[in-house]
Amino acid sequence: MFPRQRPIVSAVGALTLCIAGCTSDRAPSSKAAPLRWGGPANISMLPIIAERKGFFREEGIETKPNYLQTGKMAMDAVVSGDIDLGVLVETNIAFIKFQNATPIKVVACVMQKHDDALIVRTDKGIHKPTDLYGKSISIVPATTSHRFADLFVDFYKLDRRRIQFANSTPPGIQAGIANGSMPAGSIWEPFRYNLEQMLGDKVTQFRDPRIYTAYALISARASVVQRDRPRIIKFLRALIKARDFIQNNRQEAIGILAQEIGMDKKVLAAIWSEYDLTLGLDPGLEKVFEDTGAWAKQTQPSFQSISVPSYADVLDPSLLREAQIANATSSSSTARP
Amino acid sequence: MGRTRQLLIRLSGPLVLLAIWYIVAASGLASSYLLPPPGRTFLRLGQMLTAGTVHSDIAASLLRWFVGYALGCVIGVPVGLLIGNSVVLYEASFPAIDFLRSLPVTALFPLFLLIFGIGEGSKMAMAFTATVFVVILNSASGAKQASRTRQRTAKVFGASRWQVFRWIVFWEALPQTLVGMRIALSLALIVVIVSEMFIGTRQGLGQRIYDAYSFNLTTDLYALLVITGLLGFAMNRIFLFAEKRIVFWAGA
Amino acid sequence: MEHSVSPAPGTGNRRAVQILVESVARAFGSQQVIGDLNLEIRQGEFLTFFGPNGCGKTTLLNIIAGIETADSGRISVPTGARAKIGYIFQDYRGNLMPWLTVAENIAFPLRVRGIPTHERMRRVRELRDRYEFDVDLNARTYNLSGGQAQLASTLRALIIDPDVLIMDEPFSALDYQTSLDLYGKILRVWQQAHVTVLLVSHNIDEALYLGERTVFLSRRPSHVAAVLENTLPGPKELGQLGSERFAALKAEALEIFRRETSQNPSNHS
Repeated sequence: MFPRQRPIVSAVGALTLCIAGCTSDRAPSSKAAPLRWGGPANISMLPIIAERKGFFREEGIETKPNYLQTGKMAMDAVVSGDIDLGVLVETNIAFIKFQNATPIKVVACVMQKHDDALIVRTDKGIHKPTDLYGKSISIVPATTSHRFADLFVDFYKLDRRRIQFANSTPPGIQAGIANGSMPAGSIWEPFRYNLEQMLGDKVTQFRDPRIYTAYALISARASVVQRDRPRIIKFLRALIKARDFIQNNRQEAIGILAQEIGMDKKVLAAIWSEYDLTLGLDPGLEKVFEDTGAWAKQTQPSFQSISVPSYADVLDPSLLREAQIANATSSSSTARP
Repeated sequence: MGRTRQLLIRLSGPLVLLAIWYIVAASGLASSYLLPPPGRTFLRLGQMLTAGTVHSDIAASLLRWFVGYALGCVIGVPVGLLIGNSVVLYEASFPAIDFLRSLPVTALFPLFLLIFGIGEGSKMAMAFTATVFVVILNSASGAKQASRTRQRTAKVFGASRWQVFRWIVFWEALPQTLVGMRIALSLALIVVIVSEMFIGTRQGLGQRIYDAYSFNLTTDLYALLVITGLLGFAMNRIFLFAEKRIVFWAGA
Repeated sequence: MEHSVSPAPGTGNRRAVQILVESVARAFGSQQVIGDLNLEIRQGEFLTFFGPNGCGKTTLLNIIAGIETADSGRISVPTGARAKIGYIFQDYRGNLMPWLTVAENIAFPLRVRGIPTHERMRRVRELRDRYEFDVDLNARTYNLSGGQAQLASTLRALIIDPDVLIMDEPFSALDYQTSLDLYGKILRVWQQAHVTVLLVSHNIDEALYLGERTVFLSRRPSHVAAVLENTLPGPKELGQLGSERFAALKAEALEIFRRETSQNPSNHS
């Protein structure tokens, strides 16, 4: 059929297959491959310790860590199947649920953090929040940086119309504040630390733990949870061990973490209160997701015509429960639910 | 070839692509998150255009593009023509200009941020840089290849060097110069969009694209890409139309 | 002085020398192309040039026109006043400006002299009407046929009212019929404008027919090997090309040509 048009038909067919292949939901990796996890270092404290102290190996699983710049990248990597477990934040979960992407599960919360802050150049005349009027705050859109900046404006009851938000990336914000092209930026660690190092008293930070709490979550595709359940439970058991280790060996833990995050360990020790290393899965997180989704609908023009989805099927505490039970029976220390 | 038949053949390419898109999306082979169906995409596109949310972004991007591009042409064309007209200047400057043109312009962006800050300046500087080297090279090439015969004829009729340059070399070089300007047109737009993604202020297509990416809004992302593509396509077509009329003799 | 299209044999010698070529030599690199060339060019004559390839016919014309310089020897103008030269090239496509109309092309030499547009166009129209050339002044040069393009080139050369018209193989790229047509036109121009015409041709018929005298150049390094006078009687007309006298003239010409291009190079001084 179509002998003369064969080349065209073949080309069209090949193109179709390419497009389909690129945009298909990729199958998860085989069970024999290592368990790939990834996320930004500052929220991946428990897996980092588990990795470095060999707790994963103790549990009998092989893991492969990937350090990513933002939770969004971790979310993308989870959705595309590049990693099995992502360490990300509630904003990532909230936004992905608006889309028809592959179903995502959250199996544990490994941290509550308050390490987002507004870092500002005092030599641009910014000493208090109202000095931000007429200036632009650089944010990383759709991340904790964005949420913090927005909630900051609400917290101090600032007039929104007099402050601009400008998009950037985390290294972009660091560079911009450092060279003075940005007067203010909302960002997390280690970028804040770096700027303090570079600029000393030319910068000051606006932060208040009451403004915003971000939740670091272990997340995976529902299909991966189903297929790889035993390994994920072992992963979580290793995290439990990591949390206990950090509690009992704070100095050593801080040393390891500071190195991985890229900060001075004295500084990390000083700001340690910004990180709350819980390990649990509070059902209240569903409301957190909803609030975040509502915030997106309220503040982003693109969300005007979409309704906030249901987050009822996101949380899956069963794996963590199994891990905790297993831990309680296998070790002498008491595990906290 | 009849006009209708030609039109149909010209449309067939995009139609085939749309058909592939539709089939792949509808078949379930593709994730509808990664590949939203064309219907949904164009619906969203229509929403964006009618609700007017995207108009100021288009205007902002076009302004940055225009200032950088126009400046790049105003400087690049005369410089290129003068370089191409002189063997010495050409040999001396060609390696340097070719090197600069080969630098990926987007890699210069951090440097421009340092120099021009995060506002309009750095994005316009990007468009300018992308434009100027391409235009210089093409204008110079056009001038260099200017018919020696015609230049000599003009001299035979008593024209001065400057008259030969203005009346012969300039026109001889014009087809190639316009080709360079047309290439730079698309390049400058691309560069503006990309630099808006790095550093966004309130408005800009690149900014919207990055936002759509950040918020996982893939349908918006596709719609914006279609808008951006159509914008570049339209500008190119308009330029081609003008080009054919300006250098009516080229290809004759 | 009454100037006829074909003066009786011998009267040509009584015309004043307009341009004197004295011992002109020219080399390109190590290749001596023109060596010790001497020639008298007479006022108002139609002089054709013929010779083997590479003998520097074009170079010689360029030297006479002042476009190129000789290595040694000189071109002098005994009458004192420097001659105005009009030039017509073989490659009409490459010498006309495609972005200008035919009229603007013709007017180009006037534009160089700073004459305003209105005046330029008036002169173009007037010139065209004077010679009754059928060229569309508003056309684009790339739409013209070969013959029309050469007519436009001719008008361009004539617009400055030249003393000498130099034509470098102007009909070589044209078909036979167009050439024949243009022979008549160029002869009329010569008659009407009272110009000296120097025409290079690689076509022996053309050179002999058009020229009052035909200069035969030797192989390089070239000098004037012979000058043949066109002794055919009466006004020039195409029928002459078939006549016995023309055939005799041509036989003489071919003999000269064969002699000059023979293997023996020792004929040259």
